[in-house]
Amino acid sequence: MDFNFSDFYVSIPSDLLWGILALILGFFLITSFVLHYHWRNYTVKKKIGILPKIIFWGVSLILIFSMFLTLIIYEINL
Amino acid sequence: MINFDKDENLLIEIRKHWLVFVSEVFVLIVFSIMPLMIFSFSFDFSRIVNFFEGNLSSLLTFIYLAWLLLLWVAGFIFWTDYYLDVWVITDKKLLDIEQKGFFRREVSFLNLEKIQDVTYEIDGLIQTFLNYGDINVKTAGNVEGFFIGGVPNPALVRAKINEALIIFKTKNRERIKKDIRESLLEKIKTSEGADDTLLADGINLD
Repeated sequence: MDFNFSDFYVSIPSDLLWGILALILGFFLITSFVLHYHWRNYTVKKKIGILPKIIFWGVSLILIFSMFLTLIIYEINL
Repeated sequence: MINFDKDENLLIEIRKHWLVFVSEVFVLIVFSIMPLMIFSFSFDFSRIVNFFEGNLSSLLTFIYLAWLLLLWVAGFIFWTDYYLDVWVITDKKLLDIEQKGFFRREVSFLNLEKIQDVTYEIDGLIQTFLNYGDINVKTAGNVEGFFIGGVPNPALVRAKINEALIIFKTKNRERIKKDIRESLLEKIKTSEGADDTLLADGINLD
């Protein structure tokens, strides 16, 4: 039997998923703060350049934005 | 931030070979692909158009994105750990800074005067082709030496340590000469009947 996603609807309350997203965001923000603290204070002489920061924030924001988007789509289809 | 003396010059910063970091990242890449692999067993890709029709697909996408975000952050934690794990050679000492996770950091240093011998070892096929190996800094007496593992271009690092030793010994010799000269001049000045011409000429220890 073929599995087809369009046949399946789940009824997990979206509030729960928004809560999970909030937890993930909280974890992400705390970790980012600790990472930046280390980058600022614990390098020897060569400072950590702007490129790793751009890559870190760029990809992270894309992922977070996509999570928001999928949750909104989930809510619409609920 | 590590503080150095005013007259101390940093000669080289050494990190582990990039292969160490890449091997950690490889595990993360495997973890990021794993859900897709499991998914591909139960999904007919010819139906990809229908994927976004149900809400199960958006839920799975949400979970997968959250997973990717956690792995992404983990990757940067690994990178930070790799970047902050560093050996520093100055013209006065050798510093070993070891970052163990987020909240544990060990800093140990070895004065150059304690160093007796520096050897390096490149062992095996991968190390030979990628030119990395281990450095052993042996010390005199009971002072514990340094082991620097997985260093890129160990021959160059050994040369840098030797260069630091030469600079240190030259500076040290000059400082000792200066101290002796000053103490002798002081003695002559305080002794009775000091000869002005002798004071004017100074003392040549060379």
